[in-house]
Amino acid sequence: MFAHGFGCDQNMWRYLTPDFEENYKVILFDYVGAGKSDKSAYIPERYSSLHGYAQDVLDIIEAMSLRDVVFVGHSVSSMIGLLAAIEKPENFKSLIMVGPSACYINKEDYIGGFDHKDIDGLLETMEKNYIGWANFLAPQIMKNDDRPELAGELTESFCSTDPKIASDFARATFLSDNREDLHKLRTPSLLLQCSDDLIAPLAVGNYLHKHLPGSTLRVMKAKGHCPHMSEPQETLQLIKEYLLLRA
Amino acid sequence: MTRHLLDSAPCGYFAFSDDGIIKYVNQTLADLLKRDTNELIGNNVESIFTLATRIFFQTHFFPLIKLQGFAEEIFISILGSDGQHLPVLLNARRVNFIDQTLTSCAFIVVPNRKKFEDELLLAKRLAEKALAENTALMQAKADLGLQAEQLDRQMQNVSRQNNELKQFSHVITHSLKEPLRKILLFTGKLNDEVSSPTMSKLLRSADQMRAVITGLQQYVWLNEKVNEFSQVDLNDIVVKASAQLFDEIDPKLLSVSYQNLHTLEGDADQLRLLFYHVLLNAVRFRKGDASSVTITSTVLKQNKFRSIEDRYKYENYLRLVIEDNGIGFDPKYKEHVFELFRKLDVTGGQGVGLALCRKIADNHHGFAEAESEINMFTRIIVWLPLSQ
Repeated sequence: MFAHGFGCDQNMWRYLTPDFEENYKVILFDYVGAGKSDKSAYIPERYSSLHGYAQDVLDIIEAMSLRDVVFVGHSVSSMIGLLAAIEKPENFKSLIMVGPSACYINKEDYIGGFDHKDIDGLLETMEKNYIGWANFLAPQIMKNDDRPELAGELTESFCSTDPKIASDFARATFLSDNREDLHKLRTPSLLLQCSDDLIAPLAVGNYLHKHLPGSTLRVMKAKGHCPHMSEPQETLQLIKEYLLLRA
Repeated sequence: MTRHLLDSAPCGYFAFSDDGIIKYVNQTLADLLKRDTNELIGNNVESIFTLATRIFFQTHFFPLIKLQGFAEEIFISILGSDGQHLPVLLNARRVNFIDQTLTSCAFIVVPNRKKFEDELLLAKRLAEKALAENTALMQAKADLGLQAEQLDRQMQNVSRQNNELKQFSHVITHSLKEPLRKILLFTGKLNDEVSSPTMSKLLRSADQMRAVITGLQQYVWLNEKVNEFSQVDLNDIVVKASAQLFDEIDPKLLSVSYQNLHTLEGDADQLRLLFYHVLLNAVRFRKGDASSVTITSTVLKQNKFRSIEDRYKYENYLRLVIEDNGIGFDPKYKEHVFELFRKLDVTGGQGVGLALCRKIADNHHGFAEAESEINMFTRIIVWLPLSQ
């Protein structure tokens, strides 16, 4: 089960999923409010914290009667997966966390990487971009020279999140603090830590590894925050190695 | 010549590789940052952005450009030489250059557009806020009216049913108990005089009936009892419930393991009864000579609203898991096991234990679930709010 992070939708997994289709049942979804989900199902109260998003994951698991779920979560979805796995440990086999962080904001002696004013700046940047994106999001045939396999439908769906929902999600993400939940996890986890990741720096990865029982930390060559897009091969290899070792 | 034109172009220009390394910047950008072009090349592209733009770059811009190949009219901020934020409008496109794919970006600085947009956004936010408040208010008013009617109807129903139930349960518990006591007494005497297999069967049946009535009495007690909530240490409760059970059964039949259970606000007598019945079930439906039960508790956030749809308020709940290694049951009956007098197995029990557990969970504004696999385990999961 692949869960996208903040700012994106399920399309971001397209470089990884084909490799799992043979041996796994691959589940892709958009959180309510993201991608092509039914926006009318969006309830601000529910999605004001990560628990509402974790409920999305559990709802899918229940509706499809899934067992032994290998949950791959990018960025904030790592913590969403954590919350879901703590609540229904019986349904999860392992968690793969891509660029996870337990808390983005610096607190006392914890270094998350950001201050409140940075997050305010991000919210402003996002809001400004939705003004510019109004026409940008109109359906159009996309010309894509280096990746012709990406069909035109992308332009319609990608990042076409409602600005209000996106800003709620940003707040739920960047103001979350799941440090107290880490020790409750009973499901084994793989932490994929990028080198040079501004959003989830190495110190955060080490913190998670120290506090998450049964976790494996792998520091990647990939830089930035989206290794599954910038270095899909390395990401695939690490996930497969981990799954093989645990099989 | 072209290089000169690009360097003196009235727009900033830079290109970076997929691993984020700046491969080229034009002179306009270098001048803007008061840096040398050679100094900038080889750095991470994020180093020329403000922190907020860096997050936006990682969460939105990079995935977008990577999947779509281009991005237009992106509003971001560049970090000026003395730390000021320069608002820019940027277009980007992925291009193949020599042997690698670069993201090629051109931008113009738009300080005035930022002012207009700030004004625009402020106005938009105010309008949205007013609208949202108004819509929310209207909706809340409509909901409230509707809910008041529903509530009234439900209260009428509940109070009528409650009265009937009370009368009914008194009839059962009191009026049946006395004749039954006499039946047991006289059958016992008769059995002393003329002992026969039929008499033993009669005694056994009467005994079963007494157990059913006791179960019912407990159920009625739970219905009518006023909850007495206090801080309850579940470790103590498990000790007490086990002790009560060990008075009645051979202690060798059951081993209970638990550690560091939580303390919560609850009714100690009811919670003891809950553990008593779940443990008793574990003994009754054991596999082999003895039953082994593990009890764990975890604190989790859970939506407080159980009945009203689309309302959410996450509060701390205790997830209490009591798992045995007994004969289990077919998971398709996982709802039925909580029904009163519903028995899946004819070997023992009256079918009240789990109904009582659910009732106790209800009284605590929590809920109970069951999971099982035949010949593997039965897992009773009870969710209780940490505070009432």
